[in-house]
Amino acid sequence: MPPQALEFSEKSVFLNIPYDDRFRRLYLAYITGLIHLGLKPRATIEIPGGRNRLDKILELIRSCRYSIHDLSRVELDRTPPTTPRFNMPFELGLAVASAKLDPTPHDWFVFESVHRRASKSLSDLSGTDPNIHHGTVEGVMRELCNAFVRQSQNEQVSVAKMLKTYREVSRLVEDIQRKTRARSVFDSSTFQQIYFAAGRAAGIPQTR
Amino acid sequence: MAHSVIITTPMPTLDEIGKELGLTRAEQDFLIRLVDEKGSRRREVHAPKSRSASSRTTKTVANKKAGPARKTRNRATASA
Repeated sequence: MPPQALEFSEKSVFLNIPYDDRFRRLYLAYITGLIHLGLKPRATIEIPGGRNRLDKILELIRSCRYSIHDLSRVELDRTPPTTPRFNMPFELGLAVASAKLDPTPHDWFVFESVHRRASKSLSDLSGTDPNIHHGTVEGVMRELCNAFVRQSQNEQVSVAKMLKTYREVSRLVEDIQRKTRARSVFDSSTFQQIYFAAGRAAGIPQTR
Repeated sequence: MAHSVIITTPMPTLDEIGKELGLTRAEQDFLIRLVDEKGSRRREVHAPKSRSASSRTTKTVANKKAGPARKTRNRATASA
């Protein structure tokens, strides 16, 4: 029996970011920012390793209405042999192809920390303006608000509110990690629980 | 300028988020309690300390009054 395809979701955002401790603050910023916008972050950390990983990544991208590709980590890593990280630009390529070829709508965004660097490192993107966050939590939130605008005026969110939630969530991460017994905040169950806790901290009502 | 999109989907409720994530009721309750407890603890810490501020004022006045007496006591301790 073929595996069941993921259902397309209008509010899902494929989050293509580096998963390492140096990126932890911005990872939390993306989660808390997206929940304020009523969007659901999806990430490859939800996909177990092993066979058909690439198929699963592509399936996850295709199930999301939007994707964010953070290309701010383009430098070589320190672990020998030193290599640049190709996962993010590769997954961006998958998303662009999906947006072009699939009948389901898909909007993709490139986030960067340095002006004009993406046009040098990935010149195929010329004509696309990346959202520049300058490597800060506030910058990520500002650019999320620039990229995603809620239609209803009374649902407009502010960076200040997002930052308040971010500070609350940052204080909860260790407790959540202890509960999930995860080694890292980038573990799948920790990711999900941080997302739920961020919803509570953001003041999202429990029921309608 | 980077492009932007308009979000028309309704804001989800916390129950809907929990259900979508496949979190059990116990897991949801734990997280809700955790957020609420940490939030209220923080509010307590940052609440205006009117009581302790007034007691500090009282102490200052008391110290001023007790100034010479303490000096005497200190002198007595030194001589002892």
